[in-house]
Amino acid sequence: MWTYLLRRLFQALFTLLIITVLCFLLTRFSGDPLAQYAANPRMSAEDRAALVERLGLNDPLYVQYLKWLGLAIQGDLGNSFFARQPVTEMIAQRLPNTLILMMTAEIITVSFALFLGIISAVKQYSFWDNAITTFSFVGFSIPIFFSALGLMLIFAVQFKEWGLPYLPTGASVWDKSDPVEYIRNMILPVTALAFVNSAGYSRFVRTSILEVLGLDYIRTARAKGLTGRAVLFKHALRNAALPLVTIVGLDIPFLLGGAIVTESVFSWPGMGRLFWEYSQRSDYPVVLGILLIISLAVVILTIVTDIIYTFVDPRIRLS
Amino acid sequence: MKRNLFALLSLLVLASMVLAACGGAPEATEAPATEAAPATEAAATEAAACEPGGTEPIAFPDGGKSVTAAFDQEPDAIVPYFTQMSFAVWVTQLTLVGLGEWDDKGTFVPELAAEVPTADNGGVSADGLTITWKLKDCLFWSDGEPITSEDVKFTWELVVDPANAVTTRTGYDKIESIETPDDTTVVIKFAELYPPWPTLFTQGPNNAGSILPKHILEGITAAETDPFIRMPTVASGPFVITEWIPGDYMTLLPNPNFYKGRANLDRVQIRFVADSEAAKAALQTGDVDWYPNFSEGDIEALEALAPAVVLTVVPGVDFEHYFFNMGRVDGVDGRGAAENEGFCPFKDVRVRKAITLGINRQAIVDSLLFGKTTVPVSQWPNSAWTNTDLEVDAYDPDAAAALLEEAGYTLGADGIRVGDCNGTQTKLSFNFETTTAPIRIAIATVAQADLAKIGVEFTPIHTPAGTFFGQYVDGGPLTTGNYDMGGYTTGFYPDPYTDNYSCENIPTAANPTGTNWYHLCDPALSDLMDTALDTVDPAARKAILDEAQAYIAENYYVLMMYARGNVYGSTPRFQFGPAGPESDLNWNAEDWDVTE
Amino acid sequence: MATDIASFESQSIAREGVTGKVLTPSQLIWRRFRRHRMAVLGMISFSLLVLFVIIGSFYISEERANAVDLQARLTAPNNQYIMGTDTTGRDNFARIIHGGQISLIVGLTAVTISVVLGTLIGGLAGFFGGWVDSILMRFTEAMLSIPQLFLLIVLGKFIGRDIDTITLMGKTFSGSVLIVIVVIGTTSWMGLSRIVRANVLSLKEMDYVSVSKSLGSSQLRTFFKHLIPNTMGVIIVASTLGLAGAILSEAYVSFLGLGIQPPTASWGNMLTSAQAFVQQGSWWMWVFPSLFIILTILSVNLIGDGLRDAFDPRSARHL
Repeated sequence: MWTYLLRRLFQALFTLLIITVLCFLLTRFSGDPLAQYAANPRMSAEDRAALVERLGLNDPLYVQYLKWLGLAIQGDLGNSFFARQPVTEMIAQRLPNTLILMMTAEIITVSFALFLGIISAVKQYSFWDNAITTFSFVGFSIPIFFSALGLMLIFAVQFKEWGLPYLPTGASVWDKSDPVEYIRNMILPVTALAFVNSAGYSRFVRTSILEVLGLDYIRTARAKGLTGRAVLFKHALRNAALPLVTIVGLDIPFLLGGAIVTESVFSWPGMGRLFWEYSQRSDYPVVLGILLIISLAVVILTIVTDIIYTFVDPRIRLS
Repeated sequence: MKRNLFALLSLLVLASMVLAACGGAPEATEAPATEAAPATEAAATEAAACEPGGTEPIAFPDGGKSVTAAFDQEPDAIVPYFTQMSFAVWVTQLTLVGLGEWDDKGTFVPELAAEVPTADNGGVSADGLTITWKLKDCLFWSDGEPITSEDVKFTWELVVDPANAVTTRTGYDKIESIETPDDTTVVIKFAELYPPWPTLFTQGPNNAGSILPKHILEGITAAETDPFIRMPTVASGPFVITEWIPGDYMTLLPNPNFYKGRANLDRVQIRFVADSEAAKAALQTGDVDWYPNFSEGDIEALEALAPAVVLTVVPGVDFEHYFFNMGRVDGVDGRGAAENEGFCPFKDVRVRKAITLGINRQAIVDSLLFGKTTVPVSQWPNSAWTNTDLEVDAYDPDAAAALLEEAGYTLGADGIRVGDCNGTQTKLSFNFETTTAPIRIAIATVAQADLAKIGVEFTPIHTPAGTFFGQYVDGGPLTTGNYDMGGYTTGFYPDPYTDNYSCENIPTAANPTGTNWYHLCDPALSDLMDTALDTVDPAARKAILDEAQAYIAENYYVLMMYARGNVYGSTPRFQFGPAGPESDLNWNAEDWDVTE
Repeated sequence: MATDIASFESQSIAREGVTGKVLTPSQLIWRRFRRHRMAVLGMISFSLLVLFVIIGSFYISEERANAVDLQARLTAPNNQYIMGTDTTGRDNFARIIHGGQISLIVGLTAVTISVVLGTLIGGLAGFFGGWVDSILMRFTEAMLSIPQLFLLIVLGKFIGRDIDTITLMGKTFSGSVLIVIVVIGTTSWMGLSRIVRANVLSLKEMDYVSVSKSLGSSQLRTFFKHLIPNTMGVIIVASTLGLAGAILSEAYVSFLGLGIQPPTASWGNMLTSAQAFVQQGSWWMWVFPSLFIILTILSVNLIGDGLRDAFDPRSARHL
């Protein structure tokens, strides 16, 4: 077990290194940080050259990379070109908001998906199964930039027009230390996220439960006289959890990255918006910093997921 | 002529000072802070009154008057020498002012300065090399320290210091020295003639020059990383930034020492939102009060939201233009060799003219832009620099087709014209590159359809702005000259900028930061533009620039599409003053108010 | 003996035939598929959609879909334009037909790329284990740690903008279509590969695989004959959700400004440009593209759902 863990950790470091190289190259070639000055005629050739020099964009690529890596190892992700703030500070300011929003959304999504998935599986082909299937796929079928905007227009704009109690668009200046305000502002983005994401999850829950219910040991359990419900909760759910763990594990990085689009539509001051805004500006210290944090999370969580497997499905051995 | 102009200017200056004094007076009763902001004459005679009104921003009272703006881009740095974002400049105008600014009528008016320097008042020397500014008496920073001529000198030193990564030194690098004989006199000596001197240390839409506080910033190096540069907490303008939560919002409170007196509003907040769609919804629910960055394409949608949303369209000095890649690998008369040869048929003025005549620009303005703007005759629209003798070429597909026939391009079987260009059979089929903005996509679609009718295949390619405007070293299409036709928006106010027509400014490996993205070297035009830079007399300059505009129009180098408008959306409760092409909305933020 | 195992499997399938008549596996799958009413409905509506965009294009040319008429801009649906016109006066009905072709082609090809990549990488990693697993999974993790939206942006810019038009099956596509396909395909296989790997790991421990191995079947044979087919259920659910995802990704790519180049229509770029009209009364701008996107994704997902039930020999037995 311990040697396994050690080996995984060693591999993880290797993965991280690959990721940093990959991300560095991708971000460096994803646009010009000086492009925002382009259409401004007052910026002379010399000004531009001086700025390029100052930002270190003239160094050979590997020098730029090694400089960045050297500092990153010491916990310094550099300064944003545009915000002129340490990247670590910028991320620290946004991370809590994203975590709160995304954790809430994830918990609601997973519970909703489990509920829908179980009903769907147990009552396969019934009216409820069909209704749930249709509903979850409709949620899944609308791009979130569209459904989020729709939710906002209905529950904020139209409700106000109709004189009904309405929800905030998220774009006002609101007090983050007031829990009531926080929840009020969170309702729409969480709904948008849950509406879209529970479709995929509930399908996987349904699939896995159906699969497990067909296995021999369940049949044995039934033969032993266990009731349907006991079988479901004692055996089926436990095994159906395996794919769900995989999926939720896969989603964790996106919890950190935040839902780029949802955060944007609802003006949520989180990591997703930070990322989107600064990748548009090709401010690569910020973009790289966020990617590094996300990668760290993925790598660690992958190991954790693999360990959870062994508990959930004893047939899998770590070797 | 020159004298008259200056006389007029001085009159306006005087008028605005009187107005400012009047504006300041009634507030004195409600805000004790106005002691520090009396009219200039009063302060001069009564030295004892020269005390700051306070040392802290005025706290927001319960039930005070507050407005919230929505910005879809968060400013990077508020000190203007370190940013080129319009969103940043809009905040700068609220908090850090300069020596002068342009008002809604396009008049250059003093701010911290007592008057605009002219030859008549001795502000401009006979050789045009020395400019003397007089500051108002009794000016204070929001922290109670005096604003003096030393601050102006310090500002210049900070901008030209190579240790500071400013975004542009244009103009400031032409200054040889700044002398400060007393606290209110600034003598600027230029090393060479710099006719656009009014753009230095002053604020207009495409330039922002603020005076910086020496007592705060003295001794800093690598200023671009200093927190004050990003978020100046000491102000000379109507408001002081007191809070800035990245990604969320910014709060500004009134400056107790503003020279015109305390602002009407008790608070301005700026909320950072994602895009104009979010802003549109937030305006309707009243979550925000105004949004400054709608595009012409939003006009129709905003009109539909009345009366919940008030639409204001102000013609701008920026313009959308299409242009031809005129690059010549050999250069012209030994000048301006480009690395990429432009599309061969474009070298024939008849082809360029045909394409200009073949796009129904007026129809585009009337339909896609709701007739809210115009097709400009030349660069520098809506400004005093426009050559008023020129006329817009009307849409004339028959004449366009005839021109192409004359140039030797005849219709092929596929409906696209083919002809001989420099010995090679060439199809009139080329790419047009621009960004992905929806309005650009719509306009390019129409242009494509229009040109197809005269046998020209015009294929739009839409690239995200970051790539489209990419640096030379990163292979950006504009900078490397890797395009056939291109299109984007630029603007030249407050003073025409002419470097981008210079043969010597074509970007190449040897000169990767060149700004002549047309890759156009026409020695006659290039020299004309250079002369304009060496002429100090405003009337003579105007004549040269008129000639340059006529020359560009005759040669069809640039296809003016439409003058950009500033489209603002606001709630009915938010009251703001008139806005002009040169002034923007924020020039008189101290007068903003709300009605409940 | 290996053949015996195979025949044992097919026997077990055949035994399920209610009538006692021996059915071929494909007949059986069809039989099970039919029991999923929603799936059949999905199949019918998807076929109708495909027929609509194919037959429609015989009657309405692409030129008509791109014909600009400023006089007729934003016309509400009438006899001439049954789905109205857009901002430049183009016929929405014609654009729905031709845009539909593009969206379906993009979705199908992209998901094919992604399924092949995901199955191969996940399957091989799980099957071989050891260093093959390590390398492939490190690579997967590296790719996974980058949010897909970001990958879409970066790759879109990276692959380049000047790809010449291609002619395929008598239709001319702008180079951007190819870019969008490759970008979506190569950024969406990671989830599937992890699921396939987890499944293969679990299956590897099952008796019949061990038996097959011990009996000296070649590794490749075991892999393709036993492991991949038994992972089919998972692959199919993932790839139908994937097809839906790919069609949606096309919309997101448009939303980010990197999509199919105009004037070529796609449902994604139609929906994106219609966003501004949601509040403006020009309902036909967004109603039709979103309707077609929802209908397509819904149908595809329902088909996948039915197929999953049908493919899995164990699922439908008890409930």
